[in-house]
Amino acid sequence: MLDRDYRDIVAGLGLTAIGAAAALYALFNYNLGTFTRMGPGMMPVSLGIILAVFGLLIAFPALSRSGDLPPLKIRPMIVMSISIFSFALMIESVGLVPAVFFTTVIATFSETRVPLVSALVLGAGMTLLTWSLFILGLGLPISSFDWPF
Amino acid sequence: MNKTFAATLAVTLSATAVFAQDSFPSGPVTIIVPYGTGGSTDMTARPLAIELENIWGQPVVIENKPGAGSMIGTTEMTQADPDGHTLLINTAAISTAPAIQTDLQFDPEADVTPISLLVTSPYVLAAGSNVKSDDLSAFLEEAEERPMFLGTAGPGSSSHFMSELLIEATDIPADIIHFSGGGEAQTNMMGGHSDTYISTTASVMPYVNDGRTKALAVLAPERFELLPDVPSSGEAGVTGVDINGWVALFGPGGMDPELVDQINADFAEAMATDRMQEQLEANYAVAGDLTPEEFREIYLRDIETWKRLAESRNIGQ
Amino acid sequence: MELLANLALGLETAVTPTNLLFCFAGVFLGTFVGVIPGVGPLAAISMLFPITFYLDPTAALIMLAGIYYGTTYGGSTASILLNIPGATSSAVTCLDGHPMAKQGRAGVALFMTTIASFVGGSFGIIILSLFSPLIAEYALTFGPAEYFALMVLGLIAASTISNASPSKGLAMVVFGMLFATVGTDSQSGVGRFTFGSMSLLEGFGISAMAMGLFGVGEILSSVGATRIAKIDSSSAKLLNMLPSKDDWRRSWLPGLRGSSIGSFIGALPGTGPSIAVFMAYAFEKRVSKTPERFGHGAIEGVVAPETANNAADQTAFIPTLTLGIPGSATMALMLGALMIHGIQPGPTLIVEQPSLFWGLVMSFWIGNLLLLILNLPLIGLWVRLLLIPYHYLYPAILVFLCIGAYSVRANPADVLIILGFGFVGYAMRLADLPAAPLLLGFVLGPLVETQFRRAMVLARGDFTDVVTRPIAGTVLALAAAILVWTLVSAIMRYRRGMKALTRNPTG
Repeated sequence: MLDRDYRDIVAGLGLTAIGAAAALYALFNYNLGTFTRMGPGMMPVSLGIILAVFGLLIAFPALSRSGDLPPLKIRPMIVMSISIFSFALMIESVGLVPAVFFTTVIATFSETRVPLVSALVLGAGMTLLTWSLFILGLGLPISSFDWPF
Repeated sequence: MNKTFAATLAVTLSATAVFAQDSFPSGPVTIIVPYGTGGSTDMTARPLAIELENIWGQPVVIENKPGAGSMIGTTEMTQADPDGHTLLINTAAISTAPAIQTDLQFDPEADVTPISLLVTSPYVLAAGSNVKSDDLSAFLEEAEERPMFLGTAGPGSSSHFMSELLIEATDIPADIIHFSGGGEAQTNMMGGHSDTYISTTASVMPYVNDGRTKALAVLAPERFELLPDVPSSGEAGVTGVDINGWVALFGPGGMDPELVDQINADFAEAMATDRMQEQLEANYAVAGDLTPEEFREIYLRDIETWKRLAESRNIGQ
Repeated sequence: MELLANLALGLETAVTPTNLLFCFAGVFLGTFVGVIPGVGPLAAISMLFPITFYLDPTAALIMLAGIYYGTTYGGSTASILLNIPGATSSAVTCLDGHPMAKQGRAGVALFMTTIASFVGGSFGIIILSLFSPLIAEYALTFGPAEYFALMVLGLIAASTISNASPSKGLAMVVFGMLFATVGTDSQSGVGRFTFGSMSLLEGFGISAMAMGLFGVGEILSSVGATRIAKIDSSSAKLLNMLPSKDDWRRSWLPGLRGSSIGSFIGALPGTGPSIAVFMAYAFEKRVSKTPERFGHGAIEGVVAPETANNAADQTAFIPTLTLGIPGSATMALMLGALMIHGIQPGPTLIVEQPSLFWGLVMSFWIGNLLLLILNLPLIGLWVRLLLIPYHYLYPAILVFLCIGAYSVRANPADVLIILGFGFVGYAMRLADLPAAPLLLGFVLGPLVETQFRRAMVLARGDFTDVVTRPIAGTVLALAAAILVWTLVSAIMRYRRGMKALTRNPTG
């Protein structure tokens, strides 16, 4: 237990920052117009300001309240990013089969529970499953295996 | 670079080009459709692909690459090899985009080879029940008394450009109102919320036949052969609005002219089949039947028209 | 009776062996494809669309329709079990469906979903066959001002769907609306917050957003956590899947209300099931005597959105078939299937193609019946999915999410978008910010803005002209009343709380 509810303080201030940034960016880049003839900037600016106000409304009461700060799970965040990134990079350059295989195997590293052999088997299984489902069955126009050279 | 090597490379490359051209297509042909599955452009491309498979004896794959007003798929096509195995079927959106999208990643003249005008029809000026007039000249008078709301399928759409062209040509007081897509423009006109909608024959004629919508004019100097009862804008003395809607075939820039001619002929053959003729008839449209050079002129002329209009009417700024 | 003759004609068309077979094939494929996380109705129909080239138009449409509601149903299954909705509509079902699954009542939730789908679907079909032309005419009277009023009502009524504090809930609605401004502005054509990216010009796709927020977000927060006690296989037994008497008693009224709301909203072109689902859920929570049960596995919270969703799925065909105007991207695909066979969908369709129209209506009903027969026995199988250890399940889900996101537009950037929203979703879970209101704001926000701006153009800048239109004015007044009532009751609660506090300073 912490002396202040830092979770809501961080959340509220984060929203305020996002809202303010969006409002300022829109203010300088898009035409505001008037209430009767709104330009493209009116809505983002107003929404940004309202979001910033709500952020403060969330953060202020939390100053006089105790609370917990949840732990941040760094490992899954990094591993998932690599896994999804590799899919995005591979799907059009080398095809579905390697993309699915690597995405699956990399994703298993988010936890330490899966032994490498099982991960490889799971990867192979998923590859077979998605290939037969999406390419064989549904005939999606995705190439299954490409050499980029 | 070593001169001999460069020369060898050039010879090898041109040899490959000649070989590829002799036996076109030497493999599967991909036709990029820069719109979603089931859209009207997709509906033209897919049956065409079936007919072309019969003609070429090679698989013809339709790849839907929607986004950014067709520019995502179009950009991808311009980056492909100009060997005819990657083609694009797009609408007039490819000619309006250069007028409004300042950050295009290709040159519409150098990086695009216009090949065939596949489907074409004039635009129709349609009006809902709020409009009392039955033809264009009466409409222009009515609009002087009661300024009209010209509905469009969205900013930068061909209906938007055509509406602006009409305002410019006739100098009527009118407000443009943008809807999200042709469906909304059509329903809002039928519901009496907006007054007109300019679109292709295919999308508006079912409602004209039903009597819910009036076709005030085809925007052309003369009447359209498939709609003999609809007066032309030329009859009302309005000029400068005669641009047609189209669906056309493009390839990457720098294609071999002979290859372009061959593909043009193959598509003409496919368009002449019963399947495609029936579809054309249902859509009140005709096949283009132009040489690549003739179509190139239309393509470049349209681009110029839209660029000029975008500047004079302040579109997309 | 003309109607009876029409229904007979429809039945005759629908029960030919071929059409029956395609109906079954559609429902069957739809259910199984829909269960895959990340594959919603739009993706499934796009994938299976080319098959229909080779069928006659009636069979093609019957099969596509089967895929449509089969996928919707399958999507609910996945979202209840795994908390990974493939579409907006199932995101709402998740709110109470997943807590039910966690309480070991997954079987009951799925059972009631199946029944609710059938009831809602049948309700929508009755409306469709009785009032199609009438509703289509009525829908035309809805212009920008009316849509604006309706969306404001939806926004105000539904902004309290989560159990979080009002400021958090409202903040998330606004956050969602802000996300929705990304992309080409519908009125000026200006690209907002696109930072030069062509992929962002279209804005964020609703499915990519839902997959990221809920799917990847759920995986990120569940991975590495200490597992709660695994559900035991006994919950897959038939006895534990049957709803109790209490469940039935609580469900029938929400089912009727959900069906009505769904039928009405679904029939308006340009709104679609996702809004109907939010409205139905919000309405149930408001009229409930025990709103605090919502979000913790209330059966009404599953039944209302499910009936609304399926009713709306059916009435969405009204503008599509009678006006030729698709209400959603999925409906646009249905129209495409007609056009490929040379049938011009439009106002004359019912008159010119009676066997197609009525055959379709009857096949909808048969399809819903097949869905019921097919899925009740399958519930046990689906529930067993939960027996797979999570560390083998999540990599598989992740891959499906990636493929699902990619396949919608064949754009790798969409895969990165689900990752981005995954982080947003994870951060929101850590901060205890509710995700459903964000989705609500995302769905309604652009409509509110766009329709308001259109209404002001049509009123030539005169705001009173917008509020004095009969339908728009009434709806806006209703919205204002709800807003005032919410504020007053919040202040009353606050005062009561303060009084209790002064009497009991230690409390």
